[in-house]
Amino acid sequence: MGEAWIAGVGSTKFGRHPDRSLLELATEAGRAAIDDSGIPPERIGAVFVGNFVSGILTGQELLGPLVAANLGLRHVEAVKVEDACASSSAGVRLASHMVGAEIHRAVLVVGAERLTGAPREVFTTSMTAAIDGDTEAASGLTFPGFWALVMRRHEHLYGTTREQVSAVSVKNRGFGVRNPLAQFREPVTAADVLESKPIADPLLMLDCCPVTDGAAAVVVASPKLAWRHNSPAVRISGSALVSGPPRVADYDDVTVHDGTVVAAERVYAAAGIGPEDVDVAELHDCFSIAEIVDAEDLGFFPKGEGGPAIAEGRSRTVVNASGGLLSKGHPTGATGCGQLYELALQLRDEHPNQVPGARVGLAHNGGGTTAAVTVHVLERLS
Amino acid sequence: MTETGTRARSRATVVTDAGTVYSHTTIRVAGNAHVGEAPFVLLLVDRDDGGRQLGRYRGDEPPAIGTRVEVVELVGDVPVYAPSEEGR
Repeated sequence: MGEAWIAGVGSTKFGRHPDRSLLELATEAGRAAIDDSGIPPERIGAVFVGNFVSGILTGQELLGPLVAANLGLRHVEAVKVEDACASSSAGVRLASHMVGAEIHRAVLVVGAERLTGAPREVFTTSMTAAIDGDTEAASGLTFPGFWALVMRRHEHLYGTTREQVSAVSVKNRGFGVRNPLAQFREPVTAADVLESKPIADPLLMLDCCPVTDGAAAVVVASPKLAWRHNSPAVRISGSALVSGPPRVADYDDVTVHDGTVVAAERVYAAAGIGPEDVDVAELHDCFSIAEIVDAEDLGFFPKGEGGPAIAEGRSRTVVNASGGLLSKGHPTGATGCGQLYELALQLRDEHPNQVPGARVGLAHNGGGTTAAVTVHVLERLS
Repeated sequence: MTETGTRARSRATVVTDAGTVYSHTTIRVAGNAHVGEAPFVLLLVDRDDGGRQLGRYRGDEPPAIGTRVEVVELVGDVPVYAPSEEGR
């Protein structure tokens, strides 16, 4: 397999876009990524659109051909990719296969989602489309509920505290202040978290990412094409898409998300690195406890030590310098590309919260009950 | 189901339908299908007959992890748990 690079990135602001359609957002991000890459649009052989619930919430489908046509791309391989909250990063994984196998020299991946405006119950119902309708959905499980079950167990096994979990929200909301794309740009305190409304005990409102509209896109291209067009490229040195337990009852241990563990093993082996080499990471902090679990499963800390390590700032890797999902928001299908957008800026020295000298970046994106997991390792080109 | 029927069922199934609380949460914001039921307690239970299962709890305050519980009702396919009679 040949290499695949991220030759260009683009993103809309994440937040509330009541006056803009899903397709408008997707088209804006896609065009920005193509422009950023400098690659002529006619070189793009495929368009993957990552999206989770457009059919349920907006009634719009056929996203692949529609986005391709809106961007002036004709006769390309265009299709929607759905893996719940990991939809667009799954698209990047597929794109890296296609470019690496020299099927196409450039593939555009757009993640897009329109979530705001629906009544709360309708929104919550749409998210539960990623819970097994034959089994666990009937119990009334929600995604905050899933992570609440994880948090209770994490507390029980490792003594993780409310203060440690709140520290994740405080840290990430602090980073969000300087990110112009973020939905929330005001910091929060531990007291704010503690006083916020209970959602699924022990999770509180400020443990949860907000409801968000947005789109983000990346152009995955061959090194040769990116080099020829002087793209501001970064290397994809590891890419994995791994299925994990799709039901909470399927976990041996709900504090160990084995899809993440396996995906991490694969990308570290592919990139020839270990977790200690990662300078900057975007982790799927859909809920504050998730960042703790993710960081442990990725090997940043031993299992059970994520809570105190994050609360005390004992992390070599700077995690969620973008503000994470807790600040940027979580336009589900767009989130994976949004993470890669942030990492690309870090590795190009262009990020508003720049980590000095960042050379290796890692993105972790999870869908459902961490049932669809992607991990990508990106590296600065020397 | 009458109260008598419930008690008869729980006695008959106490061995296979009993288990230990593995984790729990109280859902306060529910999806459309369950919005009128919130708040409600969900339990993840390690069943004595093997396997783990998600179910509801009959009560407002969730039992601690490790508490013995048993199925007292089935709503569709969803088991509803209550504290086990073993220790009473």
